[in-house]
Amino acid sequence: MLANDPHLGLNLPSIWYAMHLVSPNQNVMGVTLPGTPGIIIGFNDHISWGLTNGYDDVMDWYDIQFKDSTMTEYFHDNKWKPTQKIVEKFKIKGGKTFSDTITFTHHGPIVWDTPYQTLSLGEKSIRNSIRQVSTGRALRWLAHDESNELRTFYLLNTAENYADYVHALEYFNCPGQNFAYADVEGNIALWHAGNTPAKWAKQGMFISDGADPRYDWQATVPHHQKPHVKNPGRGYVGSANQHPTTSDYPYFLSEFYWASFRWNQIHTRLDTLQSATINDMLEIQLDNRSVFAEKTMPIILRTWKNHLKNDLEKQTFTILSNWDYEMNGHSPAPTLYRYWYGILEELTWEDDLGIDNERFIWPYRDKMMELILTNPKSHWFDDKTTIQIETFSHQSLKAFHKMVSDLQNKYGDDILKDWIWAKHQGTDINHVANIPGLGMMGLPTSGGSDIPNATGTTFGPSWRLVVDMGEKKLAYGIYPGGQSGFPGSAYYDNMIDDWVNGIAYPLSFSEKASDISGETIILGNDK
Amino acid sequence: MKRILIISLICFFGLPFTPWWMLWVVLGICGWFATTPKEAMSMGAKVATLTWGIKIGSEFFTGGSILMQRVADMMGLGSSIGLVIATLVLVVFLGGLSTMSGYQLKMLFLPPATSPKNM
Repeated sequence: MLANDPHLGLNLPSIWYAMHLVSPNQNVMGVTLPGTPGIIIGFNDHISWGLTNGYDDVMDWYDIQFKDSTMTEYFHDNKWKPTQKIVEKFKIKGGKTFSDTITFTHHGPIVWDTPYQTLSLGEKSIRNSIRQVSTGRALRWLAHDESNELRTFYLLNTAENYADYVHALEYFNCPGQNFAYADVEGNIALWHAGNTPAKWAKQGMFISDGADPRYDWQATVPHHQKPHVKNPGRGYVGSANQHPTTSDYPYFLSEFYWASFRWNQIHTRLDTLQSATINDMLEIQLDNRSVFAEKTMPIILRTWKNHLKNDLEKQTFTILSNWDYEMNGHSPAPTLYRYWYGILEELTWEDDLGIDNERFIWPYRDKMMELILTNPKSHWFDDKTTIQIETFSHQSLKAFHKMVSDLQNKYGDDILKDWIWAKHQGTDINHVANIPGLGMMGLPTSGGSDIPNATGTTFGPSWRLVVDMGEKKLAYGIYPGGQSGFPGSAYYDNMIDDWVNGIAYPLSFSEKASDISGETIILGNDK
Repeated sequence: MKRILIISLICFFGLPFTPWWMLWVVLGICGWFATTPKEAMSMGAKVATLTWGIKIGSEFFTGGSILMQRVADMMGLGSSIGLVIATLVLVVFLGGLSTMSGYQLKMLFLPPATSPKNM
């Protein structure tokens, strides 16, 4: 059995188009990106596969030292080497064609990223109040390399067994993806695919010296040394964008993977199953339990318990004391908890690291959980702008008072009605060009980030698929949109309400056209 | 009334084959034949309302209401009925204006009326 629900930014028309392709050498069903000649996520008579983002670090920056401002030669490996210049022409409707000369080194193109150019390199000038440096910074990005990912999908569409699946993934270049697999013979597998550079620990995390060949990408990780697993004893495999390897894996893949909150919960659910059914898999996709809240809330509540100032704070405390840690849209508890957490983050990190993403990215929730559970008197909790020493308890309580006050100002006094999660967060599916009226706004969804049902304000499960690869294939799927891209069609957004309610549709899979419901459209003519 | 119905039918069936603004040209020509400003204004408003009313009504009940609802949202009108009413108000105004234009154009070409005092 295979279940897959890649979480992406949501738009209308939807990124996916459901399709069933039957030809002399294939019978395959699933979703495709409109215009793509094949199924991207789906199943055929023999195998099924699904994708999640791999998060490999395949983009590095290099400081380049040019001989002079003409940028015709650059220094590398103790030699001056020639650059390559390519003129790109941009045709502008109603205007003159704009020409841009792009300088290439062997690392990649010189990319002007003006606010972040270093002062120490090359000539400097000020233009439009932005510091410009004639010495550039090269971008090495795997996506610039020639590749043929379509071949991977064509081979998957026609694959018959595990060996075909592994072979198909050899051609997958970028962006790195986890390919989950299940077949009719009962095999399950997961392969972390992509032409990832073979890096030493932390290589490329900082701007590299473009003159030193030791920083060059030397080779790629051999296909059979990429992280993969087949038929493990526990009876399941999975990925929720967590780190794909153990610490003894020899290659450095990336510094960033999503914290394991989601995978831990999925793992817990799968561990309790003896024989999974399609409904079990759909329920796990809709699992709203917050592992972070479950582990930290008892500690948090203790910091508030004896400091409740008014009835509203008492009611808030009671709601969170009785919370089952489910991020349900009809409950106010997720609103209270997430709003409180946002304030706690500000109180913890801002005095040390400044505003989030301005100079530093604030540490993620897993780091905060570690501090709450193991080091509540950490210096990070201390507000450096005050004389006294603050701990987690101080900041937690301060955040609590502010949370109640802010939410009261925002939503009024009726917590159970007006502070509910679906109203506070909800989901907006905007039109792809952000045209008002052509999207669906304020959908009453449950879930949230770091929850198996990772549904947010603008993102969520872009396609839910569960397929039982038994003798007779049983498959269910849904995506938040419709099969038509025309906003005037009833099929533009007809699946959204069911998607919100966690309903999936049976997928009619057969190689005989007569077994498939729907209309027959004959394309072309008889000539 | 008979004249209004005939002009409305011509406009309705001619619309799919001509640019949308031809409706106003046709009404301008009709205004030429009006005998008073009131008659011109009334004829234009009625023909335009009838023509557009049938057109938008038939579109509304044959699947067009979905797109109308989206356009209404886009324009902040709230509902597709609001959009229909807004376009009908606009059409009454433009229809009357078109026939009045035709009527006024005709007046430019007529000799000025002789004053009884100068007789």
